Amino acid sequence: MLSLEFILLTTFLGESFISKTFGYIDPGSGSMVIQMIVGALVGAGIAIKVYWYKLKEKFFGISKKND
Amino acid sequence: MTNFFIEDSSFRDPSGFLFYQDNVLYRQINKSYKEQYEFLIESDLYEELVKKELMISHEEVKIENKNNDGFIVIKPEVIPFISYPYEWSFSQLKDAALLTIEIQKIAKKHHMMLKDASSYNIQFKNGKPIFIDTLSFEKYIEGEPWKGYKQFCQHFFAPLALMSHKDIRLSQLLRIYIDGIPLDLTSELLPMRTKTAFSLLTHIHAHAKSQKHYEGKKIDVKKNKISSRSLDGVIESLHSGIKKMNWKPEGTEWGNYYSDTNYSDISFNEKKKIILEFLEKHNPKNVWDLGSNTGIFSRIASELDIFTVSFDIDPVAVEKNYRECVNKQETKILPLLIDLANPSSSIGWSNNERMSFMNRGPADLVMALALIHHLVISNNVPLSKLAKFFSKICNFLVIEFIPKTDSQISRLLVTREDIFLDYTKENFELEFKKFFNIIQTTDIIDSERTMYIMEKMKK
Repeated sequence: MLSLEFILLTTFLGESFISKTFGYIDPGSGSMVIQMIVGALVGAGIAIKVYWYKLKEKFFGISKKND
Repeated sequence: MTNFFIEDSSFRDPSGFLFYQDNVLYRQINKSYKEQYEFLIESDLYEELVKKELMISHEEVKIENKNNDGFIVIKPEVIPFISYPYEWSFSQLKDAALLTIEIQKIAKKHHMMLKDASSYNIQFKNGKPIFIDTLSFEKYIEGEPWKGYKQFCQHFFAPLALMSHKDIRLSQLLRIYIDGIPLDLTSELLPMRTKTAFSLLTHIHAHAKSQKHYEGKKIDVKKNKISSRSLDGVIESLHSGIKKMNWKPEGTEWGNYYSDTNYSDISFNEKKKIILEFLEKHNPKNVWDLGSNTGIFSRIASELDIFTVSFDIDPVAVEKNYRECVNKQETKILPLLIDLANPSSSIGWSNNERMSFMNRGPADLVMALALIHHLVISNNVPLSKLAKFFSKICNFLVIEFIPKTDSQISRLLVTREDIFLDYTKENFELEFKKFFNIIQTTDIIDSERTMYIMEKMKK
């Protein structure tokens, strides 16, 4: 299951990459890709959360401050 | 004639290196790092980190550069005892991880990033973790991922996950894997249930799969940028993942040692009194307490303002010891995990990168209380070898002899044949007198035990 999810996510990001990174340690291609995925997921999570609070505020008049 | 040599642990980063000159530690910063170093200072990042006691301070000194690459020489703040991640308890490693994250967050506010995330960049000073690598910062370029991410996962996330979700003893994998525990191995060792936690699923399991999938492939970071907000999300996810990892110190042999011994209050207090009187009289420069358990006797020294390293073999005892340091904000005690039958060896490149236990000595005073019978009976170490060992690691020795008739030893002999015919008080004195002058002997009231205070013979 994990593999399938992973392949879907990585396909979404694409693999036609050429590297240009500096630094004395190898950041690792796989590690950079997973950062992008986590960043995107967490970013989406935050957006959903914000949207949810806005919805709650709009329909029930409950603001985040009053929670 | 000045004495000069390069410190063996700082060869990887081309930004500079550590060296000793006339027994003082300095760091040369190379021209290649000039711009980054100046930005670290000008951006006030250095000032903020030092002010918050998150990073060691340094002073710029007028010492000649050691080669043509040199830009400037700095003299860093001294760490009283260098320790390594495989010698830390669970919470010590967790606090070191949280410090790394905190520094990364602060650095980003100043438009800089940590270019690596090695756990060896953290040391313990005044009871707290502190960042020691002044050359670990580089300017943040919008869109770039965190280059230290992989290292952070291997050095912190993986061992903490293994310690909290599988077995506390897995921290010892750090002794084998000097650049952190490989994520594919971590993923295999962790229980299935860890795949249901977002942070473990992503930073360990999927990360390991991603590493395998992209092995040997290059990616274009220009084309696939990570926004500043997404990067903050990654850091935040690591932060919350680390914070959620916990371990309850219980269930080992030594956890309840003091409530399980045959000490009476009188003999326990007498032992404390002997140590206190000697410490007050001689005021040693530093103390190593070997087999310290949770550090009750170590604290006699540390409370006298004597820097004390409190070693024990039991992860539960070391964890409890460290938590007490944190709770009481103690600054003079450093609890560490050590197996004296197999103490930390010199590891890394050329066997010189990380120091062995013995290389970090000698201590001015070593305490070995209710310890040697374990080394003799459980590990078959002859008294002659013990005496020689102690002579290499200290100037003064406070040591307790427990005879075979003591119930603690009877317990050790329950499951094995007593082949230790020379384990007697007479032989103990005979062997130790070959290396030490005995300056005080006290039979402890209400017990069969004897306390000795010894001074190493001058050559």
